[in-house]
Amino acid sequence: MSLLEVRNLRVGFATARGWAQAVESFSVSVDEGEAVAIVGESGSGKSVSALAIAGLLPRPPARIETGEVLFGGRDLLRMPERELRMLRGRELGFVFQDPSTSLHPLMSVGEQLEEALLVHERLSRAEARARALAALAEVGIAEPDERLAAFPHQLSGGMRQRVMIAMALICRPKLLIADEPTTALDVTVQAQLIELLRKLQRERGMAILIVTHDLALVSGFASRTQVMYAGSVVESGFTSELIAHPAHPYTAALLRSVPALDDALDARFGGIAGTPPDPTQPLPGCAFAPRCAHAVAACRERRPKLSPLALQPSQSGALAISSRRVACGEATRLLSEATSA
Amino acid sequence: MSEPARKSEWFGDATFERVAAQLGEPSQSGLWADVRRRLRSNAAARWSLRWLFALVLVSLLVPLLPLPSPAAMALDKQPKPPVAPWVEPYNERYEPYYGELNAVDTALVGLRRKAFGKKQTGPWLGTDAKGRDTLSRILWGSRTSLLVALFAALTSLTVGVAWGSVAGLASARVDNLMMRTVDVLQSIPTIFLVIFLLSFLNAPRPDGSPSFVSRETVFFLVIGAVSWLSMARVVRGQVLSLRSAAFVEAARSQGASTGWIVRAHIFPNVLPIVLVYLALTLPSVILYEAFLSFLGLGVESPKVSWGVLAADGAEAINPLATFWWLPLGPALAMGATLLALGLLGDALRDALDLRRGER
Amino acid sequence: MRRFLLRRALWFALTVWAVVTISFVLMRNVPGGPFSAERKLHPTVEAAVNARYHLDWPAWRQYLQTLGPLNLDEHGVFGDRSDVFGGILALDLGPSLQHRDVSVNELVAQSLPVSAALGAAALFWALLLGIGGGLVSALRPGTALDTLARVLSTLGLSLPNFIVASLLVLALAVAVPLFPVAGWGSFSHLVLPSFALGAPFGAYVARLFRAGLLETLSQDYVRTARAKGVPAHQVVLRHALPGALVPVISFLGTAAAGILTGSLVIERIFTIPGTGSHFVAGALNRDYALAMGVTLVYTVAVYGLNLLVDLAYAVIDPRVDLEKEA
Repeated sequence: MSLLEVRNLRVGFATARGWAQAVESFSVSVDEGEAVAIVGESGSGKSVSALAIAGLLPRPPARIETGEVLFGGRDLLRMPERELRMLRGRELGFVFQDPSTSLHPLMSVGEQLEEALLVHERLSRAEARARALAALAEVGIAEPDERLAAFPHQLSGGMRQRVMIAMALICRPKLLIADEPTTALDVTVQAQLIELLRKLQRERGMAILIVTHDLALVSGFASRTQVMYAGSVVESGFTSELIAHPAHPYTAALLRSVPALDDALDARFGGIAGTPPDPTQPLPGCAFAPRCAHAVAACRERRPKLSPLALQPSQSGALAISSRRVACGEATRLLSEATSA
Repeated sequence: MSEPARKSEWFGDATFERVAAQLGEPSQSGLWADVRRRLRSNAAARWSLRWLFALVLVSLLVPLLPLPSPAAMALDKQPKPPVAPWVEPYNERYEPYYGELNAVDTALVGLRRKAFGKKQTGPWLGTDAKGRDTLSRILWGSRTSLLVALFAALTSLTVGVAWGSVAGLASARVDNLMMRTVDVLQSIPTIFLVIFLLSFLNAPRPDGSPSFVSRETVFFLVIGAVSWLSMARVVRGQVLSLRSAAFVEAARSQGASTGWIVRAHIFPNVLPIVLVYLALTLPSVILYEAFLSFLGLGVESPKVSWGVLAADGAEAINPLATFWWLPLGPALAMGATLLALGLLGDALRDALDLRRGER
Repeated sequence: MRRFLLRRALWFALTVWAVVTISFVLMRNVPGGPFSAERKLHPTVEAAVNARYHLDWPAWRQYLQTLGPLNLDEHGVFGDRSDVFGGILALDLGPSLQHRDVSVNELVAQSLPVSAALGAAALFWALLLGIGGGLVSALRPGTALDTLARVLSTLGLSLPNFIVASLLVLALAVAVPLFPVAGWGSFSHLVLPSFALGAPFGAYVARLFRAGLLETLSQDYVRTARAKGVPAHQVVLRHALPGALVPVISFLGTAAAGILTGSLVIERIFTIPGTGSHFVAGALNRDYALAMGVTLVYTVAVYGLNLLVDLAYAVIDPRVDLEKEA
């Protein structure tokens, strides 16, 4: 049984312009000790889904319409707030996007680290302090005893995110949800932090659900990846296979929009024409159809469901694709065209 | 791989279109039309504007109305309680004593006498201890408050805005000097100096001659002198932040002249905050006037102001005989006007989207 | 820290000097002097009075006498004193011109505790109404309770304190005699005047606090606290409250100055023997020494309170660097 199992999550927001369907349909499963990535551009509903899992969305305006979130077999959506609170921080750790706003500016690093411990475990102040010190050392912060007394504004961006990670992990959670953990940071720091997360995951056997818009960043890290577009999962599968042979046109476009080091100097890297659909005006057909170069008439009429990729036995052997799910009626055709070309 | 290249051309087109759409949208006229629409859809702002408009109209035309004179006394021993308009709609005891009036008001009062003769409204809001009609005094008193508000508005629009923009645009040293002046003026509890000043100028001359400046002139000068300080500070802050704003830097990098930048970028972006601050200054100045008049340092009898009336009202409160109409009338008039100005200021701030956190 | 205090002290000295000098220049230029206005004094009496208050001295000497710290009067002001020090720099505000044989220092010493009690009670009301109202509003935004609190706060902001005072007296002292109409001496004498004085500021604090709390409650760091499993009440108290208090605290300096100003009127309405009534009486009776003395005392009070506010600011917010602020 998987550690986290999210099924058919549907979340919307009451906005001034009407109901915004931020998440149309979201499902994911994360096994113990596994790293799973959710990839999509901003507004695809990936962060909302991640926050909804632990009941961290502001309600109102957000409303979770349907779905279930099974964590260790218990449904978090139907759990009393008190019990859910006891899970948060202890079994479910969170790392957010921007450490400069996610850390409390008026509290010292030490206070913020110890708080989670004092909430969840019966510890003396001295014990909590020792644990905080160890946690800082573990995420690679030099001179941890000095940093304990520091305030967030006295630290660099990378250091702040290390503090966030230390804080999320201090009670040794089984699952870490990292919402764009490196987006606000310098590129060099990004790689270091991903390396740190990978190391901690291996050492602790912890599961990670990482949300990002950068497929390349998680390519060597998450074993499985789900691609989201306009509130729905459009493709899921093993990360390496997904990158090698994207089946959904959106995934393919997303991959093309990333410049590679070996591109020619004058190569133009591909963006994706158009903009994502307005979440207050849902389309009848595939949400990506207006931007899709391969869309056919059927795409605009009926919304494709996320279903296993149906490949010929010969093809699946050649492409080495296992357990891929795609929400695109043309996926099989496109994939065979791409591989034959 | 020819496809990506084609797509990126697409991408370029879409971006261009989006940018063009954004550039076209929030033009200045668009912003103000938007503000007008938002103000109009705000019921509180609508009623506030109506009240203020009516007040200005009445206070301008008050000499024409068939009211008793605010200065005409009737030597009753006690204040008379209000009489409902339908019980005593009018009487014929009009006494044309006003004290000193300017030429325009004298003409208006003359018209009133031609039109209504000895008729005057009954004591609908009662009379005070000297038999003067409360309603008439409240309406005449509104003129002082509005005049003070007008004067303070002009001062903070001219002196305050000029001081603030010069400080914001000038070199750091000049800016420092100008703002330190404002600092010192603001850190002195001005009201004490003001009272001090007024009491000096109120001192009777040994030879009985009138002083070279009238007390009222000084009163206005004093109110003008204190009302521009926060405006200067706010304008300077806005100008400073605009000076280093990205769009101003962009204009400068394209070779725009300082004059053009001030006209095209600084002025339109300072205007909203000036308007909002004006709406905040007016009630505080009206309060200031009332406060000074309350202490007996404002306008002199037979002139009236809301502060004078409030002071009379406060004095009339005693546990033995309740002359409740004396404090209540001016309290309601002043409360409603200040409330209207406050609501209008809030609505303006909302309409101009100047407060981020406050909702 | 030391540089900050030093700078503050410098500005303080400059302000005091400005107040003294402006007042002195005005005083010197009152036509006819403070005693000769209403009725003509006998020349010998006038000479005696002028000599007693040094009005016969040249201007520079009077100015130095007022400023101090050396007493230039070889006989002492009341004849029986021969102090070496005198004037404002020696904390001597001089003799009152109206109250015979009483110094301004004595008048201030008598009345300041009264005004301080009134001011402290008013500040208490302001914070109680403001924090309470703001908290209720911000934790239940959009409810009837929130609307009520906001309407009351808008009303409170637009009613001047003397009108609030009149209405309160009318309601709670005349119509329903719960509190005394005026006077001083017992706790029940304090309730109405301090409420009238503090309520308008409470209305403003409520606004600031509501806005501040809504702002901090929507911050990322509050979400972080919830993600850590911190209980709801602790999220509000420990994580949201301190940030929301920052604008309230910075307003307290202004509020304190406003309460001092307002006390002039409130003390008059309730006939409270505080420093404010002395000031008004002094100003109206042209007791310039008294008026200037009280102005100075209030300047000191406002400066001191502002300093406290800035220090509190630095304590709450570690990002504030007082060295740079000053």
